[in-house]
Amino acid sequence: MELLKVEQVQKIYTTRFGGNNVQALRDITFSIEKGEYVAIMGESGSGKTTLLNILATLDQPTKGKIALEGTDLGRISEKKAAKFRREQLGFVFQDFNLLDTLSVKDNILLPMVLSGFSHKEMISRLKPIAARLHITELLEKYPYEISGGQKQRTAIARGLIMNPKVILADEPTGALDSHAAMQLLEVFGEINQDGQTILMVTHSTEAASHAKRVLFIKDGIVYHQIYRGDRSREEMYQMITNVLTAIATGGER
Amino acid sequence: MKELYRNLAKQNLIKNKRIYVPYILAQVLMVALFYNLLFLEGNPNISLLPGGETIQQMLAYGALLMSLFVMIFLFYVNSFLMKQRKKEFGLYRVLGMEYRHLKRVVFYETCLANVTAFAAGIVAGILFSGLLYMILLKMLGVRSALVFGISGGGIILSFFLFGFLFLLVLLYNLRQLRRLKLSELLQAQAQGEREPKAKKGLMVFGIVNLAIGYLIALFVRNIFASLPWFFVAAVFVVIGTYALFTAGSIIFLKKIKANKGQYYTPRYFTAVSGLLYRMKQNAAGLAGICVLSTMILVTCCVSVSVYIGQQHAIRTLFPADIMVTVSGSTNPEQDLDYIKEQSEKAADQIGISVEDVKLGELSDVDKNIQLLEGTQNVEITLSGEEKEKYECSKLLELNQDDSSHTYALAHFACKQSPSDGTASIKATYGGFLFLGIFLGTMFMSATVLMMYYKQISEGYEDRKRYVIMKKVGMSADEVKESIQTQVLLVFFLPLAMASVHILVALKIMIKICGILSIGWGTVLLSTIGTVLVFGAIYIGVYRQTAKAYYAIVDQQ
Repeated sequence: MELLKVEQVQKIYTTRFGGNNVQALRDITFSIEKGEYVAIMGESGSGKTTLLNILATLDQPTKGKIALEGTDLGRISEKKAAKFRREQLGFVFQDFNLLDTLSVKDNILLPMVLSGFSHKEMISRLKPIAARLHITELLEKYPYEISGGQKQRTAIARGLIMNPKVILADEPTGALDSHAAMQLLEVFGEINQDGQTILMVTHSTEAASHAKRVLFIKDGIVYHQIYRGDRSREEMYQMITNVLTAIATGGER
Repeated sequence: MKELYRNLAKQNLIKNKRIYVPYILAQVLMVALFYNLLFLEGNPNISLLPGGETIQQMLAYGALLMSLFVMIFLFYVNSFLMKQRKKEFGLYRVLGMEYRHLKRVVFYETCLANVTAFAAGIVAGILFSGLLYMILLKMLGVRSALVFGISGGGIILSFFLFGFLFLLVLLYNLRQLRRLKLSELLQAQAQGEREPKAKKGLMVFGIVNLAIGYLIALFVRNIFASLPWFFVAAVFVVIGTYALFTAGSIIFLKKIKANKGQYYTPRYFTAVSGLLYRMKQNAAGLAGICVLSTMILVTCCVSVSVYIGQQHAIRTLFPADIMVTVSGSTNPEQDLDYIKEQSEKAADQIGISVEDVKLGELSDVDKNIQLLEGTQNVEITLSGEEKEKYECSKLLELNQDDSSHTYALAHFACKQSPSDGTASIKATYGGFLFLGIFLGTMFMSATVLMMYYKQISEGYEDRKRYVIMKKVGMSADEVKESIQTQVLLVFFLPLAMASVHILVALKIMIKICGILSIGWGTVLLSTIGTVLVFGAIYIGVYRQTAKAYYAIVDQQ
């Protein structure tokens, strides 16, 4: 079943005084099925972050259409966008974006609080997610008291607590050491196994090799894509490397 | 090498102007105001004016309270500055500067900021003092040319206060630098403050202090003897307010947090956690705002009451056209006859007639002042124009020196006509009004600055949090609502507390006004009026501040 559909999306940034227009996205078209695990790769300035912001309803496309289960994200009002964001999407950011003022538990519960759930409901949802991410003992701690890997697992728990249709991850391993990054990717693999759709933007070949499909963006278009299929992770890693080399050297598609 | 440190210090201040400019401006204002208090307090011309000594005594107490206030206020602002800059210092350490190098940079910075502020404050104070002096004289009804005076003592005393403060700030800053480890320095800002503990002991201490202050204020009997007590009460209340806000606010917020059903709602969740997170800083600011609001209200209420009650006071104090006070009298009947005779003689000379001469009652004021045995008030009522009455009183005064009369024992202590009396009352009351306006302006600008500065600084701290919350799914409206809850709590808690203070202070205010023969009704009405006007201004400032706060948080 088609979950997310991106059709001919274009994004042009205009500087304030109408000077230079910057075309961040030229023509992006792709779609994601339910339960997929997709990585989007591209160099800095390729338009990855712009695309993610548009998918996250933090930004609107100049042209084109994005639909999540038929809901047009471009036509959503700011107020509804916020509600949509916290109920339909789960976020995992490179720098965790946890609130220092809240304990781990309260950070995870934040979207539920905003949506007006009862405290009982919150706790019943929190328990299994915390257990699965191995952060049960950390719940009463504060973000500045825990490690980077633990912070990122907290952020994932926050992303999952609303049972979102899709998890959007922006360089989730970017601020982690290799061990913590490995663990995190394993967690992503596990939750995807359970049927969670994941869309991850990254420029780490290691991270992308865990995904089932990799899209390559260059100069604002989807340049290439590869499916993992039955390949092993090592083979996938090799394929991604080849594609990246081809892009970097300007080779044929 | 020295040059390098100095340049670095200068660059740092310029780079951080967003946070340093308000600090320096606040200090300039404080120096200027403090200097002016001392300038007027020590001005010999003012002490010669009617009621001048009372005014100067009030100014002296004002200066005392102000120095206490300035210390807390500027220290609070400075601690904020250091916290903001810990990361920057961490970077310098990483780049290879040692503590002893950094120490010098911080030393030069603190010097540069404080010396600049002090010099500018004194200059502003001197320029301002001429104007203030003129305004004061105008209110006292004394005509005078602009006198450009400089008070050396004022400068020296200001220097001592701000020099002392400077030393404290410097020591604090150096200690902060030394105490922190490099890893902490780099993370300082992100780490923020730990959640404070609920200090029940401090809360009890605060309540006890408040109670002592309140009791002193409520059980004062003789207002003349107890004017110093009033300031003792004020000091107790100030300390109590600080302690109560520091401990009480945390206990209050923790209580909300403990109530899961209430805490886990959009309205309280982010606001309460945010407030609790840096309540230590918040509490000092809140208590400061509360104390300032109280000071504004008290000064304005008294001066407004005095102004409104002026006419009434004149009538009460001077029921007759001419008042003669006789002291050391052994035979009141004889004195009365003598005065009658003298006043008729004087009236004849002017060409008017005496209607009545009688013994008057002693006023409340006279009863309060320890008078000589056998003091009598004689009230003389005349027929004729005001001007003629006035001339008559002057003649009577001259006749007093007539040594031919046989009543050597009867001594005329004072003679006054309403026109003389009115002038003197106007001078005293004008002085009060001036003092009220001066202090009111000072406290008001400090409050506004403090509220604004506090919220702005918190806006910068909160920006990142609100950006995160927006990303996670908080709408602009919800962000606004959360900010409103937070700012509302921060703003109106002090106002509520200030209202309680005012209620207690009302008794003293009524007593003070009683000396000036102003009824309690007038005091109550002008208090209500002042509180309403102040509330309106306060709400206006609150709105502007919330707007500025939101603009900062909303910045991309």
